[in-house]
Amino acid sequence: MTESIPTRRRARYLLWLAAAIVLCGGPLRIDAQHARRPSRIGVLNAAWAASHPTVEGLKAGLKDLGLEEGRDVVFDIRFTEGKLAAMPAAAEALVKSGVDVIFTSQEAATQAAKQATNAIPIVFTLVGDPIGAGIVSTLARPDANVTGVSSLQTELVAKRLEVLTTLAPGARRVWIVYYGNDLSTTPLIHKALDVARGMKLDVVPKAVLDADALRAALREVRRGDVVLAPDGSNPDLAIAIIERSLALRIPAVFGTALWVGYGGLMSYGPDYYAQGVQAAALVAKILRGARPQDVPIEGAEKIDLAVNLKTAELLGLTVPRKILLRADAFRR
Amino acid sequence: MKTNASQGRLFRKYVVVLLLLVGGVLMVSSLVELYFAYRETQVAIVRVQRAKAVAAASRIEQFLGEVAMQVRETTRTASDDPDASQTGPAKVGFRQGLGAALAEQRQLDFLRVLRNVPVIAALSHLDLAGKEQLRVSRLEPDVVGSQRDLSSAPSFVQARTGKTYWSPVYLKNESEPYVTLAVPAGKYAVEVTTAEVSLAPVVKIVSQIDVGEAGVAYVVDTRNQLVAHPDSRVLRAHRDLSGLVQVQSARADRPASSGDATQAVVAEGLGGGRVLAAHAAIAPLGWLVFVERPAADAYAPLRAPIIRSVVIFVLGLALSVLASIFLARRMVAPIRKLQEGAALIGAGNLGHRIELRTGDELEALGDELNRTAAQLEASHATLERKVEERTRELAQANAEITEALDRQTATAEILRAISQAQTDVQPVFDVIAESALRLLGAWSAAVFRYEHGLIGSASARGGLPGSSESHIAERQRISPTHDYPPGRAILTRRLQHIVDVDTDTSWGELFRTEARQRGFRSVVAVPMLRDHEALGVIGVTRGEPGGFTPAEIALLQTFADQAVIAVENARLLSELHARTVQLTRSVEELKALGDVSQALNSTLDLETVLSTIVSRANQLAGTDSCSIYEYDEQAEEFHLLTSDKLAEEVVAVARRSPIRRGEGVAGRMAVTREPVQIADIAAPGAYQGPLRDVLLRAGTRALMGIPLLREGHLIGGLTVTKKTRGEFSAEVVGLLRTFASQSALAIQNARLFRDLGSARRDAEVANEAKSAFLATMSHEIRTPMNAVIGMSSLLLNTDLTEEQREYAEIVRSSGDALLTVINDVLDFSKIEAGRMELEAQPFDLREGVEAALDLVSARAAEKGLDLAYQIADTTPAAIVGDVARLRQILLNLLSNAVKFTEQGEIVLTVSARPLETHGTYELTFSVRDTGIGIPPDRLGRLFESFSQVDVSTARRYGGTGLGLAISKRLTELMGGTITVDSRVGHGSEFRFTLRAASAEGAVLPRRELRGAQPSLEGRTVLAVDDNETNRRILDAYLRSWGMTVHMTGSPREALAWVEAGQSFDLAILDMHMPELDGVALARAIREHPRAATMPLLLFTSLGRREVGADSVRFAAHLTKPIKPSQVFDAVVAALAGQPTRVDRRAPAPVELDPEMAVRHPLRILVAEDNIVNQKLALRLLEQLGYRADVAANGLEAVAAIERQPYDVVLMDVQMPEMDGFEASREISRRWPDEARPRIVAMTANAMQGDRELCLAAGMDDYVSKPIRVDELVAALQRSAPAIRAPRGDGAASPATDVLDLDAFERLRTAMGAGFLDELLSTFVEDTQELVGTMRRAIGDKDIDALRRAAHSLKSNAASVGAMMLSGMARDLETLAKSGSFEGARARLDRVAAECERVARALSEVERGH
Repeated sequence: MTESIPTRRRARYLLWLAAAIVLCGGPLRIDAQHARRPSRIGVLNAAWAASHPTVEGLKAGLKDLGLEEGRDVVFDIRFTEGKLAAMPAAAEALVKSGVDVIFTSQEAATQAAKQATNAIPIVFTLVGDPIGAGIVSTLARPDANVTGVSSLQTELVAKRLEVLTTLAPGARRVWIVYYGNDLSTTPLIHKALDVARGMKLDVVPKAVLDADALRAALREVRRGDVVLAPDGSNPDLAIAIIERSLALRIPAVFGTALWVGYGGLMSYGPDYYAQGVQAAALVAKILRGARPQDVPIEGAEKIDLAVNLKTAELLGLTVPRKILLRADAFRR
Repeated sequence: MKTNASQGRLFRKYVVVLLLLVGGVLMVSSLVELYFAYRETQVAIVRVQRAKAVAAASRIEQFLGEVAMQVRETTRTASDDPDASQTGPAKVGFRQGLGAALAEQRQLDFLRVLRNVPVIAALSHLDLAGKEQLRVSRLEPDVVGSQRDLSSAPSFVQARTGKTYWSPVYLKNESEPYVTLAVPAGKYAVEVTTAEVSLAPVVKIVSQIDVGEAGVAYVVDTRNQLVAHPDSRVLRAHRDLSGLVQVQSARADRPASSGDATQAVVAEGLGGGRVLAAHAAIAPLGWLVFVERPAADAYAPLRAPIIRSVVIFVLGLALSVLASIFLARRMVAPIRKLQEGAALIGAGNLGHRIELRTGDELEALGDELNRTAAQLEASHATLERKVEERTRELAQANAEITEALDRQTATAEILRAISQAQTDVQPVFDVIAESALRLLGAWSAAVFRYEHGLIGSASARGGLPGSSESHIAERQRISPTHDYPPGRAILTRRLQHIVDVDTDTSWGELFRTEARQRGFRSVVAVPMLRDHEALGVIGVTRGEPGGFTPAEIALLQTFADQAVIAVENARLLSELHARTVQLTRSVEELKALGDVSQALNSTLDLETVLSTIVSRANQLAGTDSCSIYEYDEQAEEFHLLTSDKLAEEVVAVARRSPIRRGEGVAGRMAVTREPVQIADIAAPGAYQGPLRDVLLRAGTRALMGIPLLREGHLIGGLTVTKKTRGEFSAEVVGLLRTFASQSALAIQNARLFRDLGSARRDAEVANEAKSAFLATMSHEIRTPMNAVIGMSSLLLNTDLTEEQREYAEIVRSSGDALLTVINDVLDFSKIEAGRMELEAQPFDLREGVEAALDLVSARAAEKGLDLAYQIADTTPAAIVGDVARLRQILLNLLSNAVKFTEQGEIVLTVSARPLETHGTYELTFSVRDTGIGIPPDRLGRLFESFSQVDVSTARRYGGTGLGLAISKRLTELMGGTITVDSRVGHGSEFRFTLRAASAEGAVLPRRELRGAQPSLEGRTVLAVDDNETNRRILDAYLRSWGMTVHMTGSPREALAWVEAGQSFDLAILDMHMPELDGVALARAIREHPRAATMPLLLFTSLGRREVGADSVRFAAHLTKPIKPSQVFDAVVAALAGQPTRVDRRAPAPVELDPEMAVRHPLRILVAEDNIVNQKLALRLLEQLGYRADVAANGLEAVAAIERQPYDVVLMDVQMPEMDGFEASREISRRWPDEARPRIVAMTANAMQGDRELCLAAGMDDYVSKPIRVDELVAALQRSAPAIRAPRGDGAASPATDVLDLDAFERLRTAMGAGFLDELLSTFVEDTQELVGTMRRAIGDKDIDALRRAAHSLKSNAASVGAMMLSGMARDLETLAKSGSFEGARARLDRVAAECERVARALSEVERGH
């Protein structure tokens, strides 16, 4: 039984090979952790500063959802300081900079973003009527790359009329002065006309196209009338209505508490900050890979009633308990 | 083989047993380890998931419980509080009030809930009976007392039992889940409060559960409906989940759910795929929270241990395999050696011995085997020898049979070769040679062809190695001789058989020596004969003497016959083929020529044609390149035009240096004019062209040139090259000749075309120059003409003696005539240069025609000619076109007619024919005269420029002869034609047509004169005119208005009718009648009492100046030609008993009205550098009563306006320093439109476009030089004095500026005191109203209303002395009369402003008094 030398050598060689394979077993385990770069969120609005309440809300909301600024998300905020004409260029610039999602506020920014891209997902806020404004054709399954939080302008018109007439019970004629080129106002007008019939109110819609026409239209508003201001991108309207309202002591209701702060009598509508927080959930979903088409448009969850008691006093109105009880904010 | 297999089996057996022992143990241990790892992992995962589910369930429970509690609490207090606070003071009688207060309180409570609980969207209160009494919503208006009956709704029923009721989940907006909560309310809990609760927080809770990447958590309600799911898509699908295994299992073990927490449920997940599911219950509601994780994802941690186990297992297995192989091998090796040895011996290798040194039983077995093998080996040898002998015998017999068979096979093979290769005989010969060599066992075999008296080898086999077999083959083809067998066989046509070359002396020593050298001894040569003609021979040789058997020779005979058949076949087929090729070639040639001529016909582009030619020629002639050269006769040089496949280098050289006459091929054929070819250009001295080197480099060897000849002229050459030496075939030469003639034709065509093009360009340049010259000349002539005409006009307005007046009039009329000539020439040049542009404006056709007639009516009347016109009813009243140009044509034809007619009539008729395009017409105008006529031979040249009928006519009648030429061109520009018919001595008729769109829709001031007119219908009229045309026209009009017409050409007859007592409402008489003139007839009619008061209308040619016309009272005097509008007015007025003002547009010269400045005060500045023109303008203005200021250039003009205001600036366009355009722009820039003076351009540039230039520069109006008084007056009338506040000193009071105080004062004294008040108020009222009326009229486009209002305002203003206002109103009136609204609004604004000023001035005057 003599063992040949080559055979023994071969066996030894095989042993070493086996040992080497066992020792190098490490490479079989694949390290699944790879560094992830922060997602880039583009923000587009007509605000005067980067700290628009919706943006602040968005940041807070994302943080609540575990997305830390700097680590998980970074923001590219473009605000046009009230210039709507600058919007398309700003949207183009955002798209070029290669953001992962665009967060917009109000119709103009949303439309501009939609014009600029059909690939990058867009999450909007402060859009009164996404269908009426022609941004989407259905809420549950939005078209293409757009979803967001609707500020329920059309839905809330009845409630606005109600709170307005609760505060000014004598009012019979309601003026709705709006910018004629704002498509989303049309459903609002229809709803208002519809609701007003039951409330025995006379609704006078007045479309204006520029500041002159706006002034002219407001000149027709008389004492005893009330005004409902649609929530739009252009602040001129609200400011002109506040001026007229204060000058002639005409009650007016606004879509957002912002104008109550500027002397508007009252507002009934969603909170800007809360809409930002709400939209953060949608942004997070999209960043986690959901397609905008699969993220339904939500109605604003937090709806506030704000009253300026000083203006009420100036207008000689007694704020009834119903309003006081319901109001979320007062300004004295 | 058997032993081998069994040996392998043994080896395998050992290996398998060893493997099973080691590997089995390894595998069992790995599997056990894996199973336990799997169990542990699963338990851990399920435990985690369950913990998450429980946490979520408790959070949801807490949330919903809180909501329910809030609603419950609030509604309880809502019912209790008012009771507590109000039972005391309240009385039963206040029940209603109490109810209201309660409702109010409840609403407030609800509002509080809405504020506190944001997830509640709406709250309702249901009363005892289940009727909804109050609904408070976040989005909708609140509703009180809707009385909606919900008594049978589960919410009400359930809540009445005292329980909290949760409704099934429903979706709002297709994506937001809501649930209705119902709780008992009120003091006795018999009423119910319902709340709509948003489940968004529930969704949020489940969304926040972290279940790995692919895991999901969701909630189902008691009915197993999905309530909340992070993905709204799934939620929307609203799937009933009762079917899911995990749900069923959860429902089943619900009582013990808290017990077996580790029991994992592996089931199909919501989204498909296997999942690990755990759940927890939301106790009070019976809802379940599920936490699912895909199994694959869950077991991910197991993956590493599995891989590890598998690796160890595999390694172990590998080691055991190696070990078993080694061991088995050691045991099996000696056995195998033994087995192999036995196998070898068994297989017959009896010499083999087995070597085995194991020293055991195996070695003994080996030795035994070796012995047995040795014995076997000895007996084997004898057997083998016997077998060998027998085999040899068998082979002998076999060979004979094979030989016969082989011969037959060979014959068949040859036949097959014949049938396969029909055109090529070589394979047949090859088979024959091969078969002969093989079958006859020959030394060599060969087939020879005999053609054209020469013999040559076609195929050979065998013979000496390395050389072709035959001596014949070596020497190629030779003439056959008797010295060799093949030659003799051919010459004798007999078979030659040599049994032994050495002994057969009938063959020469030469052959025999050669045979010996080569090594053959016997030979046979069989001729291949067709009809006694030898086609070849088959020769076979053998190395040994003895000749060939008869069978062998017969076989060769057969081969020879078969070869003949093959040769014949091939010959016939190749003949056929040649014919086919020839045919194809001619078809191709025809096609190529077709292509070339098509290219020639389809394009004039020489390049295309020639490249088609060269490429087709090259292709067809089979040459290597083809080129075409053009011959320059002057330089005697050839230039390369185009080439096909010519090497680039050659092209470059050819393009660089042209080939001179006599040089190269092309050069040579320029001399010979015949095709020239060089078969080898490399041959010394054959070719010396400049291209020789490059051609050689390109590989070209032969060259040919064909001259391109056209009508005996050499115009170029076509050359071809090829890369092989040799002449070009006659066929190619013929073909290229054809192509050459095509090329010649193409080049000639192109040359002609080129010449034509340059001639046209020359003509265009000349034409441009002519136009420019004419424009300049026109300007240069007009400036002095201005002076001549203007000054002579002024001269005529001074006191002159008869003689002086006559001279001045001649100067004046000559000037006018000259101007006409210049205008004609200018027009003509414009048309010639294509610069004439026609306007397209709607205009009244009748007015346009009448205007032309008016201009010749005076001259016609002077010559005693009747002038008539008629427009057919079908003619559109208004058309779109250029009225000025239409008038120009008409005027030209009419003045010619008047000029060439001494007596008789001139009739203009207009008719129209609708065209296919809707609303467009072809209008035909005809001017017929009874003049001298035109001889037939002159008719053709009539419309040519500068042509009159003959020179004598020109002398007699004058004129440039351009008129008709211009008319013809204008007609053509308008889309029509002009023709003439004439008979010498009888007259001519010119007829022209034009195409125009009807402008019926356009607003044009005209009356509808068509159809029956109510005021005239049924009235009887007597009309007397000796001229038949006039009668016909008059009759047509009068009848069309519904009148009864009694028409006669004889005054006597008319008189007879009156005498006979016939009564007429009206009579229309012509003045000029042969028997009795109009006045005399009128007098005679008046004699009769019946007709004493009958209104009479008189047609004259000269108007009221008619002698004696005054002696009879006529209702109206009408001028000829008959104009329907005029006749209509006169007839209507006469029947209404009113005298008619007949608007006579007499062509008398415009009178200078010295009062104009009074009526129409203007401050005028004349900007003009030319002293003569300055004087002229100033004098003209002076005669109109204006005193104007003068500026010598634009700068001065601007400075003057700076100093003081002007109403009008007459602005010369061409001035030094600053021209009129620039000055106008400057003025427009400095002063606003309403404050700046009106600028009227004066320019001698009468070319089209000048007007536009002037207006573009800011000028308002335009008069052309020479200045015509009427044009100037019209321009001034169009200028209203600008309204402006007094600038500078302000000396004049507004009143004096606005009111003519003298006139005012006159009125005042005439009317007496107290008048002013009334006047003021009436005036202000009236003017305001009138201004309003005018505004409306402009808005409504009601021109009549505008005209009437303007007229009233004009007289009102004049009556108070507001002359400026009056003038402005008159301007508006004039504008309205002209039928235009252009600028009406601006004028009206000025009028309105002036009205206010007048009102102010009036009150000021009043205050002054």
